[in-house]
Amino acid sequence: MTHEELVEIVKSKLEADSILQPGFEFDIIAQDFAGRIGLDLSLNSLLNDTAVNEQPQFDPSWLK
Amino acid sequence: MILDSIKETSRKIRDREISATEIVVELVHDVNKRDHILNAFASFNSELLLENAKLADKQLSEGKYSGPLHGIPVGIKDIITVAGYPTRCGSDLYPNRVQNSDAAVINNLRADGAIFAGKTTSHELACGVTSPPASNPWNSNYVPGGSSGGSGVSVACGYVRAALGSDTGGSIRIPASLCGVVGLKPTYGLVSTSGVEPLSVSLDHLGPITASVEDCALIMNSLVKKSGVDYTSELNKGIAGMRFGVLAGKPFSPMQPDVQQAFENAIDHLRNLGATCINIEIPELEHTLAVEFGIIPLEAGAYHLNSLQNKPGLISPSIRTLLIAGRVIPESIYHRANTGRKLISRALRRAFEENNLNAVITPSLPATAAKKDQDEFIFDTLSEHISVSYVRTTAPFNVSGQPAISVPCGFDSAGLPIGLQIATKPYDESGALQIAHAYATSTNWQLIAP
Repeated sequence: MTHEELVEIVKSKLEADSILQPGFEFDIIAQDFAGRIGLDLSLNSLLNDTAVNEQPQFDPSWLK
Repeated sequence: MILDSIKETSRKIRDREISATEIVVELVHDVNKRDHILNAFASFNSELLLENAKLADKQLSEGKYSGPLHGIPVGIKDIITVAGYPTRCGSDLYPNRVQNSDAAVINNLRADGAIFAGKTTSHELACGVTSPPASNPWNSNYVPGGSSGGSGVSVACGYVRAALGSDTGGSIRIPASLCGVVGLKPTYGLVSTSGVEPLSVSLDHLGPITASVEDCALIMNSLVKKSGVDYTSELNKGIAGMRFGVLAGKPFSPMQPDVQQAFENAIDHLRNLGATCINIEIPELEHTLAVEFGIIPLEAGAYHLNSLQNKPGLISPSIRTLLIAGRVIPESIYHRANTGRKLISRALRRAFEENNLNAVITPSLPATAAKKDQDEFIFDTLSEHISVSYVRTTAPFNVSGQPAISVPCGFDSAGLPIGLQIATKPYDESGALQIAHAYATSTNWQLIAP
């Protein structure tokens, strides 16, 4: 996806949320967007773990 | 300047050796003298403070002793609501917001007799690691950390012995480490966040920043009202026979050489106190920031939607970009991050169980305080933004929800403080305090003031 395409996605999503403002730094927002997508992709190696569906561990019984 | 511990000050107040008013007069004098440079306080009402101190003294003279914090001034981060004080959250969004009710933690502190020294400087919307305009008390050209920077400064420079902070990715432990004081992020949900401006509700924690581990335990007793729980009761039991996992690899490396040296010295010291320290790598932790930064924008963006729609010009551009990210990135990122969170939490649990650990130990931060105009750290060949450097060692325990405490463990060659992080099992705050107290009282780091 090109930078210009990312900027368009950002603008359309912000318009849908009634957030679109002319003073926004769309280039920076689009770069940030791309960075976050890249960071998310780095999770692939973790999420390929076969035991994804085990229960979360905020379990007080752990203390015992 | 308050030099005595909370316990000793409390005894002196109760025995009428000193009055709350005398303490507050000295505090006001000190703040008037120094806070134009340090900016620990975002709002400081000396008249209200003196009024409350006089009331505390009057109550005592009438035989009404509220509790172990009677007449003790406590700093409150400016995202926590205190009736009658402005809660500005370091933001132009809330220039004059004064509420009539107290946050739940303020009710607890009030019930134990605490008085409120003022609202301490927060990074804008609790979303940052530098807390301008606050300055590091060890060198005012450096940042105090954030987002609870003013709380760290107010304790380190001796205005107060204790302050409250919040911690979503490290915002209690970062200023505690950079200012050379103690900071505890309790187990997720243990300390109520009711009446506190949220950043990211599933990662937000509230806790104390204090001058000593003992002070920290006393404040925890007030924040967590549970019958039979006394966080001071285990402090002096030592750590002989305990087992600690020394976390190595990413995200804890790389770190500055002075931090590495201080950390290795601390591990040696823990061994000398009778603990067994074993090196452990948990590969899942490398993904901590992808999880943390996958959750915060969506939760923060949802909370601040109205401000984004109606007052976006009152949010600084960098924070606005983060909040906007929460509106534009796909929800799948949030869900994947939460799945990653489960896996990281499970990996930490497994490490504790398989190695029979009492705690894991890390440097609180990989670097000491940055200069105010500094954007990046250079670690050998790696260039890293300071907000990433400061969060990567603390955020694993926001993600897992475990308690984690930072205690001072040395200084770098420029004289800036270094912190040691101790994380225990969920709800084992007593264990974290016990280990931290054993370390702190057998070294002199927590006694050194700027």
